[in-house]
Amino acid sequence: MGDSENGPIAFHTFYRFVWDERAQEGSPDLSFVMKAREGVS
Amino acid sequence: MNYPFPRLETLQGSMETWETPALRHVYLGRIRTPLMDLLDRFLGRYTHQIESLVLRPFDTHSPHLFNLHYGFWDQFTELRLLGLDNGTLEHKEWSGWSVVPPPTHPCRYLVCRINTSVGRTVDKVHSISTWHDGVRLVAGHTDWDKYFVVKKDPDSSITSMESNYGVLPEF
Repeated sequence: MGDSENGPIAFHTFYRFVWDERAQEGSPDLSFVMKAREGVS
Repeated sequence: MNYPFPRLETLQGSMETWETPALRHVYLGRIRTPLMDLLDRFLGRYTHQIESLVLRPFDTHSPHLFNLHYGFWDQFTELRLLGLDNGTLEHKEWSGWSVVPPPTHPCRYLVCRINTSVGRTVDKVHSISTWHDGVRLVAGHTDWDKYFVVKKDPDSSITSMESNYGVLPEF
Protein backbone atom coordinates (compact mmCIF):
# COMPACT_ATOMS: atom_id res chain seq x y z
CA MET A 1 0.00 0.00 0.00
CA GLY A 2 1.30 3.38 -0.92
CA ASP A 3 4.53 1.98 -2.24
CA SER A 4 3.66 1.11 -5.81
CA GLU A 5 6.15 2.29 -8.34
CA ASN A 6 4.91 3.29 -11.75
CA GLY A 7 1.78 1.17 -11.49
CA PRO A 8 -1.77 2.53 -11.71
CA ILE A 9 -2.52 5.35 -9.30
CA ALA A 10 -5.12 4.32 -6.74
CA PHE A 11 -6.44 6.88 -4.30
CA HIS A 12 -6.96 4.38 -1.54
CA THR A 13 -3.25 3.61 -1.37
CA PHE A 14 -2.15 7.15 -0.55
CA TYR A 15 -0.37 7.88 2.65
CA ARG A 16 -2.62 10.35 4.34
CA PHE A 17 -1.29 12.99 6.68
CA VAL A 18 -3.19 15.79 8.33
CA TRP A 19 -1.79 18.69 10.25
CA ASP A 20 -1.51 17.91 13.93
CA GLU A 21 -3.66 20.47 15.67
CA ARG A 22 -1.79 19.90 18.91
CA ALA A 23 1.41 21.07 17.24
CA GLN A 24 0.00 24.53 16.79
CA GLU A 25 0.79 25.59 20.31
CA GLY A 26 4.42 26.42 20.71
CA SER A 27 5.94 23.74 18.55
CA PRO A 28 8.41 25.13 16.03
CA ASP A 29 8.55 21.84 14.23
CA LEU A 30 6.27 20.75 11.47
CA SER A 31 4.05 18.00 12.74
CA PHE A 32 1.47 15.91 11.07
CA VAL A 33 -0.60 13.01 12.17
CA MET A 34 -0.47 10.06 9.90
CA LYS A 35 -3.98 8.82 9.46
CA ALA A 36 -5.48 5.88 7.66
CA ARG A 37 -3.20 5.16 4.74
CA GLU A 38 -6.05 3.76 2.77
CA GLY A 39 -8.35 6.75 2.74
CA VAL A 40 -8.21 10.05 0.98
CA SER A 41 -11.33 11.84 1.99
CA MET B 1 -16.95 3.36 2.06
CA ASN B 2 -15.29 1.59 4.95
CA TYR B 3 -11.67 0.90 4.27
CA PRO B 4 -10.42 -2.45 5.54
CA PHE B 5 -7.41 -1.18 7.46
CA PRO B 6 -8.27 2.14 9.15
CA ARG B 7 -4.96 2.33 10.93
CA LEU B 8 -4.25 5.45 12.92
CA GLU B 9 -0.73 6.28 13.83
CA THR B 10 0.47 9.41 15.49
CA LEU B 11 3.82 10.67 14.35
CA GLN B 12 5.00 13.56 16.39
CA GLY B 13 8.28 15.25 17.02
CA SER B 14 10.97 15.66 14.44
CA MET B 15 10.04 14.30 11.06
CA GLU B 16 13.65 13.36 10.54
CA THR B 17 12.95 10.31 12.67
CA TRP B 18 10.20 9.10 10.40
CA GLU B 19 10.86 5.97 8.45
CA THR B 20 8.91 6.38 5.27
CA PRO B 21 11.06 4.85 2.53
CA ALA B 22 8.00 3.98 0.46
CA LEU B 23 6.51 7.43 0.47
CA ARG B 24 5.33 7.71 -3.11
CA HIS B 25 1.63 8.60 -2.97
CA VAL B 26 0.98 11.31 -0.43
CA TYR B 27 -2.01 13.29 0.80
CA LEU B 28 -1.35 16.25 3.09
CA GLY B 29 -4.40 17.85 4.66
CA ARG B 30 -5.31 20.83 6.82
CA ILE B 31 -2.06 22.55 5.88
CA ARG B 32 -1.34 25.97 7.34
CA THR B 33 2.16 26.46 6.01
CA PRO B 34 3.34 27.29 2.49
CA LEU B 35 4.56 24.59 0.14
CA MET B 36 8.08 25.98 0.30
CA ASP B 37 8.15 25.38 4.04
CA LEU B 38 6.87 21.87 3.56
CA LEU B 39 9.69 21.25 1.10
CA ASP B 40 12.30 22.63 3.43
CA ARG B 41 11.11 20.72 6.45
CA PHE B 42 9.66 17.51 5.14
CA LEU B 43 8.87 16.90 1.50
CA GLY B 44 12.27 17.89 0.19
CA ARG B 45 13.66 14.52 1.18
CA TYR B 46 11.18 12.69 -1.00
CA THR B 47 10.84 14.79 -4.12
CA HIS B 48 12.64 12.26 -6.30
CA GLN B 49 10.29 9.43 -5.38
CA ILE B 50 6.86 10.98 -4.85
CA GLU B 51 4.50 10.04 -7.66
CA SER B 52 1.29 11.54 -6.28
CA LEU B 53 0.95 14.66 -4.16
CA VAL B 54 -2.37 16.00 -2.90
CA LEU B 55 -2.23 19.27 -0.97
CA ARG B 56 -5.21 20.61 0.94
CA PRO B 57 -5.11 23.77 3.03
CA PHE B 58 -6.70 24.29 6.39
CA ASP B 59 -8.41 27.32 4.96
CA THR B 60 -9.88 26.63 1.55
CA HIS B 61 -9.35 30.24 0.57
CA SER B 62 -5.58 30.11 0.80
CA PRO B 63 -4.41 29.37 -2.75
CA HIS B 64 -1.15 31.20 -2.15
CA LEU B 65 0.00 28.40 0.15
CA PHE B 66 0.59 26.14 -2.81
CA ASN B 67 2.22 28.47 -5.25
CA LEU B 68 4.64 26.49 -7.36
CA HIS B 69 8.16 27.78 -7.72
CA TYR B 70 10.19 27.66 -10.88
CA GLY B 71 12.11 24.45 -10.65
CA PHE B 72 9.19 22.61 -9.09
CA TRP B 73 8.96 20.11 -11.93
CA ASP B 74 12.69 19.59 -12.02
CA GLN B 75 12.53 18.85 -8.32
CA PHE B 76 9.61 16.41 -8.46
CA THR B 77 11.04 14.22 -11.19
CA GLU B 78 8.63 11.31 -10.64
CA LEU B 79 5.43 13.23 -9.96
CA ARG B 80 2.53 11.84 -11.97
CA LEU B 81 -0.36 13.40 -10.05
CA LEU B 82 -0.78 16.78 -8.40
CA GLY B 83 -3.98 17.32 -6.45
CA LEU B 84 -5.37 20.58 -5.12
CA ASP B 85 -8.69 21.98 -3.97
CA ASN B 86 -10.94 23.83 -6.37
CA GLY B 87 -10.36 26.92 -4.24
CA THR B 88 -6.73 26.88 -5.36
CA LEU B 89 -7.18 25.88 -8.97
CA GLU B 90 -9.97 28.37 -9.62
CA HIS B 91 -7.66 31.27 -8.84
CA LYS B 92 -6.08 32.76 -11.93
CA GLU B 93 -3.38 34.10 -9.65
CA TRP B 94 -2.31 30.63 -8.59
CA SER B 95 1.32 30.51 -9.71
CA GLY B 96 1.00 26.95 -10.93
CA TRP B 97 -0.74 28.13 -14.05
CA SER B 98 2.48 29.78 -15.14
CA VAL B 99 4.77 27.00 -13.92
CA VAL B 100 3.81 24.49 -16.57
CA PRO B 101 5.19 20.95 -16.43
CA PRO B 102 7.40 20.23 -19.45
CA PRO B 103 5.79 17.92 -22.01
CA THR B 104 8.45 15.34 -21.24
CA HIS B 105 7.63 15.33 -17.53
CA PRO B 106 5.75 12.22 -16.26
CA CYS B 107 2.95 14.35 -14.75
CA ARG B 108 -0.32 13.13 -16.26
CA TYR B 109 -3.04 14.15 -13.79
CA LEU B 110 -4.06 17.43 -12.26
CA VAL B 111 -6.67 16.52 -9.68
CA CYS B 112 -9.19 19.08 -8.55
CA ARG B 113 -10.97 18.19 -5.35
CA ILE B 114 -14.42 19.66 -5.51
CA ASN B 115 -16.81 20.53 -2.76
CA THR B 116 -19.47 22.12 -4.91
CA SER B 117 -20.71 21.73 -8.46
CA VAL B 118 -18.52 19.54 -10.66
CA GLY B 119 -19.68 21.14 -13.89
CA ARG B 120 -19.21 24.72 -12.80
CA THR B 121 -15.81 24.06 -11.26
CA VAL B 122 -14.52 22.06 -14.19
CA ASP B 123 -15.62 24.72 -16.64
CA LYS B 124 -13.81 27.38 -14.67
CA VAL B 125 -10.62 25.43 -14.06
CA HIS B 126 -10.56 24.12 -17.58
CA SER B 127 -10.81 27.62 -18.98
CA ILE B 128 -7.89 28.80 -16.85
CA SER B 129 -5.59 25.83 -17.37
CA THR B 130 -2.43 26.53 -19.32
CA TRP B 131 -1.03 23.03 -19.02
CA HIS B 132 -0.40 20.92 -22.07
CA ASP B 133 -2.83 18.32 -23.33
CA GLY B 134 -0.78 15.50 -21.88
CA VAL B 135 -1.99 16.43 -18.41
CA ARG B 136 -5.56 15.30 -17.74
CA LEU B 137 -7.80 17.23 -15.41
CA VAL B 138 -9.47 14.94 -12.91
CA ALA B 139 -12.35 16.15 -10.79
CA GLY B 140 -13.02 14.30 -7.59
CA HIS B 141 -15.63 14.62 -4.89
CA THR B 142 -15.17 13.69 -1.28
CA ASP B 143 -15.93 10.17 -2.31
CA TRP B 144 -12.85 9.29 -4.34
CA ASP B 145 -14.47 6.19 -5.74
CA LYS B 146 -16.26 8.50 -8.13
CA TYR B 147 -14.29 10.93 -10.16
CA PHE B 148 -14.36 12.50 -13.58
CA VAL B 149 -11.54 12.54 -16.09
CA VAL B 150 -12.14 15.65 -18.13
CA LYS B 151 -11.87 15.30 -21.85
CA LYS B 152 -10.24 18.22 -23.55
CA ASP B 153 -12.70 18.19 -26.39
CA PRO B 154 -13.85 21.43 -27.94
CA ASP B 155 -17.26 20.96 -26.38
CA SER B 156 -15.66 20.50 -22.95
CA SER B 157 -17.70 17.39 -22.36
CA ILE B 158 -17.01 15.43 -19.22
CA THR B 159 -16.60 11.72 -19.16
CA SER B 160 -17.69 10.00 -16.02
CA MET B 161 -15.15 7.40 -14.98
CA GLU B 162 -16.52 5.50 -12.08
CA SER B 163 -14.10 2.96 -10.81
CA ASN B 164 -13.78 0.61 -7.91
CA TYR B 165 -11.28 1.79 -5.34
CA GLY B 166 -10.59 4.99 -7.26
CA VAL B 167 -7.98 3.57 -9.61
CA LEU B 168 -7.14 6.07 -12.30
CA PRO B 169 -6.95 4.90 -15.90
CA GLU B 170 -3.51 4.92 -17.45
CA PHE B 171 -2.87 6.95 -20.54
